[in-house]
Amino acid sequence: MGKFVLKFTAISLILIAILLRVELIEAWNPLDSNHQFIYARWNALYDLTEKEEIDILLMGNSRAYRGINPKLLSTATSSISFVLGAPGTTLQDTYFSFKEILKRTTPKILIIETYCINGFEYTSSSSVTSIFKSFNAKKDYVSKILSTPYLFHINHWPFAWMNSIRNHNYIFDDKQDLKKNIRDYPKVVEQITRGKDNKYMGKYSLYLGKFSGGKGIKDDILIRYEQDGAPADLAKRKISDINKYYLVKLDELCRENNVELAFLTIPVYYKHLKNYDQFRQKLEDQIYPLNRKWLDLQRDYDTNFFTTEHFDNTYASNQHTTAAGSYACTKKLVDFLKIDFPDILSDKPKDENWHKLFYGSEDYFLHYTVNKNDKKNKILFKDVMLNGILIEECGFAITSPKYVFMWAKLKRGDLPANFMDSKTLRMQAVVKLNGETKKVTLELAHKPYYSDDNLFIFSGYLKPMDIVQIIQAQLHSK
Amino acid sequence: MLFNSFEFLLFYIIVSALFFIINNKWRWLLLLIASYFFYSSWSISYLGLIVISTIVTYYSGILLDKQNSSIDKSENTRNKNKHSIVAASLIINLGILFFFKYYNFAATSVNSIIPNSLPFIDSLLPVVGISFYTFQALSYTMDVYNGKIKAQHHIGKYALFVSFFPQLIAGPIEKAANLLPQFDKSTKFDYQRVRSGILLMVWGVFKKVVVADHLGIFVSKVYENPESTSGIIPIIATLFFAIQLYIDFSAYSDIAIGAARVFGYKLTINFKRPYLSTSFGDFWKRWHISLNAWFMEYLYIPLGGNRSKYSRTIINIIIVFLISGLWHGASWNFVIWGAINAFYLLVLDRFLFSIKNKKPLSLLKKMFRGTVIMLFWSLSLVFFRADNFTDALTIYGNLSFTNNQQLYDFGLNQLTFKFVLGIFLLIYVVELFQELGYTSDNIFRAPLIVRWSIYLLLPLAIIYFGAYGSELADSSFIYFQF
Repeated sequence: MGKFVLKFTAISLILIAILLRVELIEAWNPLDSNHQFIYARWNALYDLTEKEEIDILLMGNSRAYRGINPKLLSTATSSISFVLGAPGTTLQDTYFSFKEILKRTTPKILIIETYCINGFEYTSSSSVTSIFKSFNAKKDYVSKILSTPYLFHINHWPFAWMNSIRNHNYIFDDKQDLKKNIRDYPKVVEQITRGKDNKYMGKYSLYLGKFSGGKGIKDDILIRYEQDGAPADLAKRKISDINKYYLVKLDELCRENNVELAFLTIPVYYKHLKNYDQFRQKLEDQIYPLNRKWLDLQRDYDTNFFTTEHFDNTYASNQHTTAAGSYACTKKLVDFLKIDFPDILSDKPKDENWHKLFYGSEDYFLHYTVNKNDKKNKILFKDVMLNGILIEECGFAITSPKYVFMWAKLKRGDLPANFMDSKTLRMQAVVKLNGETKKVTLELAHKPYYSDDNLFIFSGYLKPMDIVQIIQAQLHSK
Repeated sequence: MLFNSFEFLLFYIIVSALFFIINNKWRWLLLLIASYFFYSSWSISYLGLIVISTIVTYYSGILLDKQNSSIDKSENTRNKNKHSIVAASLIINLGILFFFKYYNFAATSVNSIIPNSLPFIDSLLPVVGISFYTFQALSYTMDVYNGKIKAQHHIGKYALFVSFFPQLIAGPIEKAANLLPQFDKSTKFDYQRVRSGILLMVWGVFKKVVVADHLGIFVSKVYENPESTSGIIPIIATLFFAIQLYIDFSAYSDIAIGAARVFGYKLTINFKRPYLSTSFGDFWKRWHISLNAWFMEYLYIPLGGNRSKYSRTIINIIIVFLISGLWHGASWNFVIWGAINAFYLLVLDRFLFSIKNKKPLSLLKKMFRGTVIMLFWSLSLVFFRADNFTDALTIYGNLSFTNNQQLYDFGLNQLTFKFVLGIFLLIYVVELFQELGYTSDNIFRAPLIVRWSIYLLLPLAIIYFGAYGSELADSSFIYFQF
């Protein structure tokens, strides 16, 4: 028997070594954008939490990462916000992910987007595939080993741990991806971290919102709503037992670690769904006993605030927000946090490190100002009266080689909140454009989701130019 | 718990490790617990049925033995009692089998003649393995009745005989005289035996996962929509099914035999290279050997076999094939399949495949005949595979040698297609060598580099070339449905 055990062990070890070596080539990593996306999120989280604590952590599925702009959330709340959403994720996966995150950082608040509290059951389905990808992206092997029996059926353990086994069919079906992975090794990891299109994610990007490029719902879809009704019927939507169980576990985990827990429902366009109240009742039965705050933007749908430009132009039952929609939802979330969780918001404005982290990022200058030493970004003028309204500050920032971000902050005073609706700020300016100095008209739109009790915010993206001087400014009604 | 699953791999490693650690006295208990655990992994409710069958046939055996040794009673009385005991055992066991496997089929058939006469029971789900263990348990009853064996008094070992996990779900159907005595023997760890058992198991999984399951993708695509395929595609699908069925079932048998061999138990060989048969008579001595032996011994011979007039023999053969067809599935399709094979045996063998002299045929002739037999056999399998009678007729109607559809549009791309056929040819070559008398011992006498290459390449091929995946439905063995 000894001889057999020795030989069997030797053969097994050689086999395992071959499997591991093949796995390390990463040739079987899926190149789909979802996979890269999930990797990028986790890599960014590991990077960030090496140096920083996360203040606001948002988790959920695609509703979460499409619906919230973490850069705006961070700068508007003076905190470090992170959106760890994964497509098709489940509450069970969210629970184990959060457990791992707690080893690295203790957020002040965890916000769960409620779309992941759904009727998920473990089957050979796309949801399970999403859990594989999310599991694959994690690096804490102790947590992974401990969570494996809960997350996966025993027959799927090899799939969970090895892409080369899960995607072995690439040999027959996806030779191109296989060849590309082998050719690009070891850059694959770097490529994944950078993101496939390098559009929204940088290596250290903490933001990781994924914004739709869409412009909002068009007339043909609006007509379909009238003719065919709402495509999403939530009457039949259920909450599975496994999700109910892990919701309670998540709540307990937050209490044990002194983490606030809140819920957020990112809306769809109000004509896009029906019978939300019936599903809402099922959610209430689960969430209310936990005694946690819940921002439900669907139930409290604000038809004056949300417009067609905020939602994807689709009749498919699953509708996400556009980039504009994510700004709008984030604004609502910021207001919610300021009212319901004033204590958790950071004193980061005094923290130089936070300013270093966010300086120059999206929307930073809407809340803070340009450094005096900054040679790239500029304040054009300050404290100028315009028709009896004070322009506190007007400036621009070169946030990308492709465009310039310009803003103007107007003091609100006693003016009503809707005073600037449908208004734009037009300015005659002297600019250097393509090497030439010329006079141009610049137009900034009013952004209600940035404006607050003190300021009206006007902003816009312009072609790359150096704005030398503002000659004249006026408010213009559309 | 499928044989080709990670779950089974872990299960088997644990059970076999414990088997060689614990005292021989308690090995039957370990295997019994493992077998019940294995069976309950499908559904815990299945255990109730197998326990009933076990208890009924166990006590039947005890009572029959008592009758056999009751010298105070007259022979007439003893025979009468024995008949009653056997009848009770048959009624209960076949009754359970009938209810769970055939009731809804019977109800549908009767209702088609007399509407609404029998209720259809929706909640009646098929019970995995019931056909196999019922026949195995009944063969024990009959063997005790006929005095061929003495009753087993150890209920635990008897229960193990009925439920022994390597062969519980899809055979081989073992005779009590073969298997029961083995549980009384002390088995020691034997390196050669264990090595050959493991290699056989790995070979079985390789055949199943790399070849059979890939072919199954193509076959399923065609047979799921028979009306939308025509020409050479259904011909290829039908041939593929013949290959898939053989490789799938023989793979299962390999795993079963290999698994039992590791423990030191010898199971009946269930397949002997049927696609090298020289006649249909020879085919049925090479295909699902244990089932055919069962029907031969417990149905054909009691009916009279070939001892009576030729017309009676024909009737006996037809009865056996019809019942064998029905055994395979609760559908008239299977009965028709049985009838076709009865025709092949009775007619084709007489006029096409008779061997004039007794001299064994050369390998080349066997290959030729075997291929022709396989072609006829695969035609019969259309009824075996099709979902219903109409679909079977549609497939037959669409068979032709025209090529108006893309071969690679049915789930297998060109590379997979060629690869799988290549591996099948490899398996065929291996079988040719086996037909010439080569065995796995020849592998074990090969140089170390050859042996270890096989030990490594087979599992790697399973892992990297197998037709499985989280997106694919779990692939069970075809014969599990029986």
